[in-house]
Amino acid sequence: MKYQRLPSTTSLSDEDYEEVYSKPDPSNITVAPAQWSRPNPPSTRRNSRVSPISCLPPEILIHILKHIHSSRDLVNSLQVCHTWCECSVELLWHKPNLNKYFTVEKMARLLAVPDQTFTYASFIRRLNLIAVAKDLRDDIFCNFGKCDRLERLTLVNCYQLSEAAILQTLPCFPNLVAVDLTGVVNTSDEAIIGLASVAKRLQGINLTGCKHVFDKGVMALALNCPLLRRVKLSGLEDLTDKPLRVLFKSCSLLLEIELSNCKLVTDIAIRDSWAHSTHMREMRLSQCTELTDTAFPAPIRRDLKGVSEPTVNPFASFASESADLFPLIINRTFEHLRMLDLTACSQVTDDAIEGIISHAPKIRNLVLSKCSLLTDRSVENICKLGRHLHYLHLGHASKITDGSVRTLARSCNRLRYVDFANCHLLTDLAVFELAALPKLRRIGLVRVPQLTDEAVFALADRHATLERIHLSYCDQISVMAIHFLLQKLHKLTHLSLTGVTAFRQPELQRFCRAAPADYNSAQQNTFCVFSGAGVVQLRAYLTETFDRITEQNGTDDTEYEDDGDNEEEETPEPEIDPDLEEHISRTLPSNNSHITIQRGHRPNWRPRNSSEEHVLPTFPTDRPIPNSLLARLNAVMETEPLTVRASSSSYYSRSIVGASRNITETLPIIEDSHSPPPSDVASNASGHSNGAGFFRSYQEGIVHSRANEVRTPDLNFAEIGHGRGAVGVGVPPGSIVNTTSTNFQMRRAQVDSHPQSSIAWPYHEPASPPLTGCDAEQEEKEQECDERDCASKELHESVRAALAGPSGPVPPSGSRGRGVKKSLRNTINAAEQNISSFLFGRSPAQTRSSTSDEGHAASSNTRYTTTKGGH
Amino acid sequence: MIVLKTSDNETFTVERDVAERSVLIKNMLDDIGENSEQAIPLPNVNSSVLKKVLEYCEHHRGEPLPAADADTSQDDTRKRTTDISEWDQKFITVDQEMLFEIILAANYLDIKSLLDVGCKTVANMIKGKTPEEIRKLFNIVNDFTPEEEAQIKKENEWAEDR
Repeated sequence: MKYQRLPSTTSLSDEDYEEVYSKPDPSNITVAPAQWSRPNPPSTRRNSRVSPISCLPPEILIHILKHIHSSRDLVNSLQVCHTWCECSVELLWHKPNLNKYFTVEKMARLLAVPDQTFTYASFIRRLNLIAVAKDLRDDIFCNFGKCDRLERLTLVNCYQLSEAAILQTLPCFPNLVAVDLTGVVNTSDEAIIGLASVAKRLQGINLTGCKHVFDKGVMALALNCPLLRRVKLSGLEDLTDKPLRVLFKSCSLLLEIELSNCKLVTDIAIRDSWAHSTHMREMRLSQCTELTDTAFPAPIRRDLKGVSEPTVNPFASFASESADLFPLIINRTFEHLRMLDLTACSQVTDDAIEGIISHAPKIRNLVLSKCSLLTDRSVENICKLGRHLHYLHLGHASKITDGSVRTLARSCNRLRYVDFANCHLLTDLAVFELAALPKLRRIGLVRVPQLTDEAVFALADRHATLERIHLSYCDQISVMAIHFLLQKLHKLTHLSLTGVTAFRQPELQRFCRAAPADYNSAQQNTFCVFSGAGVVQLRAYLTETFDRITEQNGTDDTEYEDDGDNEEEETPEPEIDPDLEEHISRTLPSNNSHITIQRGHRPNWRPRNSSEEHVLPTFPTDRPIPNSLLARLNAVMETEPLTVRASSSSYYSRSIVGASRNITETLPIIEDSHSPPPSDVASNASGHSNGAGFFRSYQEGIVHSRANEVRTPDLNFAEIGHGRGAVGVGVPPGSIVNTTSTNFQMRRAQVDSHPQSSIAWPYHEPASPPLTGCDAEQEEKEQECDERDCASKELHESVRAALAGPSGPVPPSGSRGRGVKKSLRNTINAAEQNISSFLFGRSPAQTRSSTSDEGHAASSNTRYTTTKGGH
Repeated sequence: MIVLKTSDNETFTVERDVAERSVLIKNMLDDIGENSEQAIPLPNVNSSVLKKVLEYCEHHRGEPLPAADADTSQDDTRKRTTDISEWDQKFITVDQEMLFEIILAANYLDIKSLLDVGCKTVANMIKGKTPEEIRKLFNIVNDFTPEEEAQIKKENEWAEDR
């Protein structure tokens, strides 16, 4: 069995033992030359006349040699002469660097040799065999029993060692200060008893996963090793309260206790820790499922002030017999407590949290995941930790709401790590608040289904510090939002998007980490975690793809850039009026999110290079996006400048939200609006490796089948509502709205008149991720609700379709300006045409090609929905 | 002002805060009290070395002194860096004899930072050299018998594994 070494938890072999209470450690520094094991070598005096360095006394030579880090340099030094040898040999052996098995083997063999120049074994003070754990066997290991001055021993995961070898060797180390036996599964009670009886100075012991250590072993440690400060007993499933109570009572210096998965431990033992361990710094009690509120100090109440025993809980000693424990009343605080892990202590309620925080005001790391009874009241108590809190895990505390998260983000402004996985009541608003944390480095939002792209934008906009983001199963998130996020967060090293439909595509998943081997095939398929180089690759890929799209389309961003009104809107840190805020939270995420989006897109809207434009039709194989796809994408993008112009002419900001969303939402749709040339089909079939595919969530096979079809805009419209991008459904895709000012007005009026309507804004989508079928129905209803909305959508589609025509084939070879004018003219013409077709009653449900769709089709849900939605 | 007297009977007059970079002198001054006109004798330091040492103290005056107990517990692993500041590097670029004299003086006068600069400099000279090169560099005579040398090499060869 393997155990992960967590840096902060298994620090037994680290330096930090000589911290608070340590006595001077005489063995730590080599100050005298080593003793030869034979009669003295010839005098070295003769060196003194010729060599200036020989004037240095040995202790200074040793001080010099201490500055040499590499053991190879030390080996060379000790071969110089007798004096140098005496001075360097102990430095070399003090903490041998044993990275390779044959090195360990060589050393072990040497220790067994009888006639050595020095008694090397006693030079070894620290021994770390973690690097050779899987190979280390008894015959090698037992040779190290000669290291009678050993102080620190790390045997993590040396699972091959037998019970007999461990029993024989551990008691050979009377000077042991720290021992890490994590995963040394054959460690027995007897071995620990043997160790405890000799190693009186033991300060730290890690027995994580030593399943053959029971009450007797821990009791021996508690009784014999009064200096114990760090005791880690995680996974000792048979451990009961009894030895723990003795441990807490007799080892008053305890700083850290780790009892994860010690399922038999009850309130009684933990109460003793509060009663006796005044220096406690870290308590890890995860999966101690028996624990209830009475394990923790009761909240300090003014009316109980009269209780006169300040240090010891009066009930602790006899409480063990009684089934119902009295509340634990302690009138002192635990200023040193920094870390408390109560993961899956599922009986713990708000009362316990209140009591803990009223007694331990400086907790830095608080892990309360799977404490599912906790509510906003706990979060409000946690807020009292203020700037002390750096790390908070509230995963599965599903009763938590935005309100308390808001208070939290404002009170605990030094939070670096937060996790709200499965807190399904949380919305984008909570993320906006959390995104304002200045030091936030990691945020976990797995299965917070109400989150939308707006949350992603908030994270992207506010943070240069974010390094790890977990958004798995937040199914409303789009590729565009992630692209934007990656552009902004250059420190990002980890991004998990497992189960986000938009990312279930081979061309994106190829950048993911390999799924864990023990996942089943369904899990393997949804697995989508980008880390390290994967993040970089994904960013590069998305950037390249988006750049390619924007380069190719007929965008002219001159107007965009020059637009003064537009710039004015970009107030960097909009202060939201508290009164307005609630309204905003219902209607749109935050004032600045649209600005973000806009800014984020700007890099893509490069001035078009006319020479590149020429290249477009003959797009070579090294840039594998099929021309027609590009052309279609271009068509979409082309609507963007119009959008921006419209929005900037009116300051009404929401239109921009709509507009940018529009890009995301419409990209996949356009793809099918006209028939691709044969080359496109070929390229699609040959692995679908280009950038366009991921704009849509459809399966690869479907793409193939559709690539040949001629689709009407109306069908595409149907897809808007029922594809994965359902986020945006309610919103009439922005660019339509903005194509003409009249439409814009119309939309604005509509929004104003139904500020809370779910149609108006996407943020009130049903909490569940769009599970296509029912969503489709819902969408249909919503569409019926607002005919104007439908009308504008249709218009939008038509415009787009019309646009696709001119921009798909070779753009005019004339100057850029003329090209733009032409495309604008086309747009307007198209708009007019479609308005007229709309007026003449073309029904939105009219889908000529839907039958043919079904013919090709694809049994996928998405596909099904599409068709269904079309009707 | 403080008067210091070297082994070769030269006197140096320095400001108190410069002289007190030396813990030895600081303690002596604390013992004999203020306003003593007496020269402090430094029988283990000659004038050329003291001049150099005072140059160092002058440059580093005002910097915080390391805590008295800090060196014993920490100097083992944590402070084993071998980078030396640019000024110090220039300062310590002297011949070997002077280098070791400065180290000895720093040790005697208890100026920890100077001692470290000196020792790091020597350590940097040792790094990457074979035993023979080290002997040559410092003019050290190999006093091992061939058998001794072979055995020591063999016993410690594990450390050369990479």
